[in-house]
Amino acid sequence: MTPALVTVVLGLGLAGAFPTCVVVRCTPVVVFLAPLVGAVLAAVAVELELVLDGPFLLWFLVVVAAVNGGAFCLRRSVGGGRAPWGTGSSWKWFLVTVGVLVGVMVLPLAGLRTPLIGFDTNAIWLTHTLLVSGGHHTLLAGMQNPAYVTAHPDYPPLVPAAGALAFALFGTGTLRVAVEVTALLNACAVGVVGVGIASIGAGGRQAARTVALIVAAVLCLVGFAVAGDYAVNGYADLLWSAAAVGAVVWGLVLPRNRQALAVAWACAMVAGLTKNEGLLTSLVVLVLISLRYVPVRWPRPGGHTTTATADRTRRAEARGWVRRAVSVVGPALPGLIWVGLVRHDGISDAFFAKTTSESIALRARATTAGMAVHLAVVPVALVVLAIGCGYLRADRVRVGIATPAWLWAAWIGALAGIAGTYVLGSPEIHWWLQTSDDRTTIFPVFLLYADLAVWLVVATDGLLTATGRRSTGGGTAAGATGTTPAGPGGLDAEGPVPAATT
Amino acid sequence: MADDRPTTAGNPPGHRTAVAARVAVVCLAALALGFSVAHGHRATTAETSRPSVVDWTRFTDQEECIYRAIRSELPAGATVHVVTAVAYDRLRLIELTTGWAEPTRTSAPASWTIGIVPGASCAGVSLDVRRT
Repeated sequence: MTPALVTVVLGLGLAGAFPTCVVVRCTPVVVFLAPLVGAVLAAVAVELELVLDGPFLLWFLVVVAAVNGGAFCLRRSVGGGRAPWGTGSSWKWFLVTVGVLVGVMVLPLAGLRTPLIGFDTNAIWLTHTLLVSGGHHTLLAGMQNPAYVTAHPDYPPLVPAAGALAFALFGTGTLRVAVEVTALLNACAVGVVGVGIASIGAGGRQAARTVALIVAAVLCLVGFAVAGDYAVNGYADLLWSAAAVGAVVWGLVLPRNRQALAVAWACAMVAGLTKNEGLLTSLVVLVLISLRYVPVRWPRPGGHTTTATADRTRRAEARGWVRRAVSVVGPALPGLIWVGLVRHDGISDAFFAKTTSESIALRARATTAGMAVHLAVVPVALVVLAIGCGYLRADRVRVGIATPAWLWAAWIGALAGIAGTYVLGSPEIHWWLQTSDDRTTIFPVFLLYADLAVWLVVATDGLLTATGRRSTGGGTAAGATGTTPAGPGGLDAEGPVPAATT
Repeated sequence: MADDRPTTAGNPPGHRTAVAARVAVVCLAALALGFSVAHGHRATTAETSRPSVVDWTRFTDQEECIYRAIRSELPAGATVHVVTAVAYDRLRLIELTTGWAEPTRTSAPASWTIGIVPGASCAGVSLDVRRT
């Protein structure tokens, strides 16, 4: 376990810590996000390794130096007034949040005491990790070798990259270290979601903050529960799913500000570089985030009185669409580059390689039935949504978070994307579903549990506020304590989004 | 509709309905999250049970032993064809040869064949290496 911890904390965490602190500042999310950012850098190093000659470790060091140098320049250019270690929340709250979330995740990570290794871990992830460890020629030859077709050589490189870093640091004597690194990255992604939920109560009174933190801790346990054995046996499904849920929570639920947007983009990068369905889901989430941060303003009929006004409006609309496109393509770029590279090398997705004799209707029916088995939380989430939208809207506005429509749009879009893959893909549908639908539904299920957690925090805050109003004779909790709803982790309060962010 | 009237405590109209809605949301969400946590706890308990630890430790030892055997019995860079009746064993052997030898899809271009057979050298199995 120690080599995996050293790899994640010192290898990946240190590599990603400074850039993350510069953009997100030293809030609790940095502790969980920095190793994930480090893993993104490692995945980009694999892309360079595939294109150019040289070993993985060399490219990793080059990418880390370049990104940290860029972050240093960025920090200098914005001036010392915005110190990266200037915190929005107290160090005490920082330590309590991190301590509680790490503390609860030790429980499900106890599963690592058993050296579980999943089927795909052997067939796909450890194989890819050994290919990455072998350097440019081994990687390229391996990906093009037909003997590896069952290892899905087109799968994105983040998990193999993190494992290859462990092999570079500790040798390949114990392959299991790569499995443990994946499990710890799973925990980091779940932790990012947890900090997002905990920060919902950051602007309120102590009791509301405490409740939010407890709910966040419970949600972290739920993340591992939804994934089951896949959380600790080397599979990558919890990693992309939790990262995508993190992107939704930070980008589509929490108040709009630069730091939340940066966390959401980083999470989307992680999801897009972890699995193909992660890239699909992250694109859906990124489109929604771009629409939330750069809202579309539909022209009113007869609203333009002059041609000049109409021209200005059209130019502003065009600029808006450019900004939206950039904010979708930018964070997805590392994942899209990988797709381009594997296609360039003649490697195709095995799931769409052949045509199927099964009808679309049959595949659609099987997909609906297969996925529905795992979506038992949907009815509860819908009931809570109905009650919340009917009676708790004011509570939600007071807490300062977005309408649940964004989260549900992400849920529907991602679920439709995954279901569409099953329907349009080529493997025999019943076998395909049987071997994967419990993993592809981790994202939609975990996202709905996150929605329940959000409503739980909102409702509790409402109850505490009502109690406060009764005891003080009026006013809201925020008003009574003289605070305003703050952003995640005590970051900027929600307001107009700075143009630079998008 | 009685709760829509101002009460003697000075609560705003709809206060009771709002409180009931919040309590309902808290209960439903807490129950759903709680059930999931309990399910997760059962999964972790099963993973860490004594029989599970013994079985998986044996599996891992077996795998690492085969990994070492491949590197000691095959020359580096050799072309190998995996011959085994069990599909999973085939995938495992392809994985474990990666970075040392070059697996082939068919037997024709391979200089060596490898397989997993019952034996004593690797916790109940042995690596079978043959020159073609």
